[in-house]
Amino acid sequence: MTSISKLRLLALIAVLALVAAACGGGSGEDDDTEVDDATESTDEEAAEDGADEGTDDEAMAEEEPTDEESTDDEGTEDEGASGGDEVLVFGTTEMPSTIDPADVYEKFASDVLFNTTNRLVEFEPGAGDIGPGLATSWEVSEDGLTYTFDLREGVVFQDGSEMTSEDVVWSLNRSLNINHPDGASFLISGITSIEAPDDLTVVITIEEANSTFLSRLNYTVGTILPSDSDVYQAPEERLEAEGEDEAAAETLLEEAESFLTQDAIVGTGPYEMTDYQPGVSMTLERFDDYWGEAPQIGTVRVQFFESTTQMRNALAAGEIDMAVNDLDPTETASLEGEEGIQIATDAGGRTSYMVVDVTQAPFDDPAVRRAIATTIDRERIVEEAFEGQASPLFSMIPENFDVSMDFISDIEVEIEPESPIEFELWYPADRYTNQAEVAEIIARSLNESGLFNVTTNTSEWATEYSTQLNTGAYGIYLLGWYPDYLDPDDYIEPFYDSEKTFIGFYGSEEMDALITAEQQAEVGSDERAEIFADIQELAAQDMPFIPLYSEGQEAYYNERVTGVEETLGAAQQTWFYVLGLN
Amino acid sequence: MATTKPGGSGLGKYVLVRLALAPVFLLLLLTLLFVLLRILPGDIVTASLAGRASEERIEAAREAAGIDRPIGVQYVEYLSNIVTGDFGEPLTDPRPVGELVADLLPATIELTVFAMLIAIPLGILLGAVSARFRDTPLDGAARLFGIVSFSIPVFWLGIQAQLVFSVWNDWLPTGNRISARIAPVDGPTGFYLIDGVLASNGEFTLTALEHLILPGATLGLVISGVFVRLVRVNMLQTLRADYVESAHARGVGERPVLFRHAFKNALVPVITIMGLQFALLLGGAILTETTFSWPGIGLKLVDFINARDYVGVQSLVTVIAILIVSVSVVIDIINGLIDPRVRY
Repeated sequence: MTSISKLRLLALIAVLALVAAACGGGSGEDDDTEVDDATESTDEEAAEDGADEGTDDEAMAEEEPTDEESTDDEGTEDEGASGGDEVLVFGTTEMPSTIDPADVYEKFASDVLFNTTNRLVEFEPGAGDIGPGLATSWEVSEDGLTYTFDLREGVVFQDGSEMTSEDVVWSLNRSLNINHPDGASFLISGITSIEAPDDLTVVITIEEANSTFLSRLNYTVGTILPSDSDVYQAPEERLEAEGEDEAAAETLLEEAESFLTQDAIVGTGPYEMTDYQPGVSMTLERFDDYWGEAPQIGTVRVQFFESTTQMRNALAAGEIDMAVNDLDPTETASLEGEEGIQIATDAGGRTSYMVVDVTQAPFDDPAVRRAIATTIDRERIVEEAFEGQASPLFSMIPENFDVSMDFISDIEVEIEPESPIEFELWYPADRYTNQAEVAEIIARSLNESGLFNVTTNTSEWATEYSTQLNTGAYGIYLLGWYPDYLDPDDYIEPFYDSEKTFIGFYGSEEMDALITAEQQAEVGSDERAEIFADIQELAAQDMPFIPLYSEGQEAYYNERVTGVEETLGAAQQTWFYVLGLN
Repeated sequence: MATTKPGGSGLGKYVLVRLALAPVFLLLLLTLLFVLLRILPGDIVTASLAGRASEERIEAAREAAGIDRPIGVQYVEYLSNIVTGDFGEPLTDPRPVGELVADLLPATIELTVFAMLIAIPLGILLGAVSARFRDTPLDGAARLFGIVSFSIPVFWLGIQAQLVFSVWNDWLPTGNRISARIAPVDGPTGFYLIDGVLASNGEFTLTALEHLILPGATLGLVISGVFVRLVRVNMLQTLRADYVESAHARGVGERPVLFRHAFKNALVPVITIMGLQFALLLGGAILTETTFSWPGIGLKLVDFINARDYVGVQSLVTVIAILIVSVSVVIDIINGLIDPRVRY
């Protein structure tokens, strides 16, 4: 039959092509989408390297780090995988749903932006507080409403254009004007004007004094982008829904979406995103014209995983060098015996707590709430549900902030109920780690005291639980928090402020006044620490939220990777540019 | 099973009827899908925004997603969008649906074809051996294989395979389509093996092949069980059929009977099932894709379902439905050509 012979012919050609390709060695190895004007020596190196490399997990590079070389002016050729430079493979199970700064509001997408772009101010690795970014210095007016930033000179974007005050004004306005309903523009919505008196000065005015403003500017919504590039578009005016009806809301979202860029990033950061295949991989290459210190590792390639179990196995097999936060306690524990794998944790910014509906019985009595808070055995939760990989939490502000204080441990139980107080504790079935176990342990430790008779109940996060947070259907329930900006305020305002809380059961004028005072006091001052102490004391009195435990960032990495401790820490950002490879 | 007059007119009519029925099936499938998606509680908006969004923001997003409009309006819009090829934009993936399918489908097809290449020969071989040596220990072993492989959970088998072949012995990668240690190739077809060859990038092609083996073999092993049982049953039936008996009576040897008569006829239902299996596989490689982080349609569908991304789920399932109906029609027509008895 003719069709069969045709097939055979095709198969033969395919096999021949394969053989030819395999024998051809490194000839087509340096295959990339960019024009490659590398020097000849690089090409030869590449060919050699490429030919020698299988896909085994040998270290890919020479023994010595190529720090000096990295500053050579070699253009931006792709030399990651098969060139004479090192590749760090980073694994994650979190595929970004967006990579546009105006829309990003999730952990891994933020980390990508923190490595490829800059903001006016940045967290300095290891320092734990705000330092210079694209602004070298700034002044705050007496009334705390006007910030004047002096910009760094000679900073270039990854498209070659120079960064000036015009770009800063345009970028911040872009985030505010796109006003994406899923994004984080609410963090900087207090801005009333952004002006550029000259090329290297930016003046920002805010509505009311707020000492957390710089921290908020450091979130990805404050990313500085090139204003004259084809990659990013911005609306002239702030997008608002025209009217109350659904058509208007739909138009707003569609409009906001139409200004987003999902396949490229152009920033001023240490790395440049040169390739992105959603769900498969992302390639970050060292940006040679970066204004700061050149990163040690030339190429970071992100590999996306669906299954945490497989990612754990890929770590153990040496297919990836590092991952952060993605494994559950059992998988983490099982990695501890693996040869060559290290695990590092920091004091955590992720918190877990109970929300109490203070408007319904039996929780409308503060003494009952205090009794619950002090009776719960937090050590037991940490040991039994997290194999020790978490810390007990006695304030909504986690311990990685100096101002965190424990007013809960010393609470005396003031209630003597005739019969145990009955209630139902709710937990989400499929969000956060081991919630069923946590809820059971809480119920057990409360019931053992004889004061309570607690049963547990659960519902699915997406379909039910998340829709009931404010309805009062759950009198007391478990919830978790991941910080947006690095300031104790981010653990106070969203909960206790009667105006700005996202959980609407509690409100107190005294608390509101304290929060306003804290937001206007100088960051790091004793005055502010004292106000935070008052806030936590009042919170322990009123007990509308019961803190349970905090989890730090966890990094699992191959022992070849250096500098991991530097990227762990309060900022909760993963910086590839502080890492190295041995 | 209806009989039909022999001749071309019967076949022509049969093909026409099949083609005419396809859109009807498709419409039924899509309607069912639409209703199911609307019956399920919860929605994308509360799932993704709950946490720090105000009531107004949630409401605006719900309206924008079109979830709050009358169901009839949504249904008509959904169908008319499909007809015009507009599948909307998923809410939790940066890519428009067309691009999404172009990215994901090759991965799923590559995996499925590879799994079939393992499952079909293995299934036919074991099934034939099992029928030929009926009631011997060999038969017992083949049948046991058929039952065990069919009932074993894919994810469990996959994780064991990862442990044995990747973690304990450094033979094969644990999963994913390609190693992140080599430079990506963004080829024209989306099939890594083909793109690697086209770019004459031997390293990429071989690495892609290495990555195919574990997930492909796992999936192949699991579906081969179906074929073992099917081939065995059909071979036994045809061995007892009249024409085989008469061939024996005419003194034709055992081997020719087995291969020329029994085996050929036993394959007809097997082809049908294979076609069906293939169609189901396109949507059913989900567990394998999830276990091995294989970036295909099945894996993305799971992501969309978890995120309650209506637009995403709807668009992917629509694509899968169209594929299944198309493959079924083609298989029916092929069977009509091979075996006159199936026409009606």
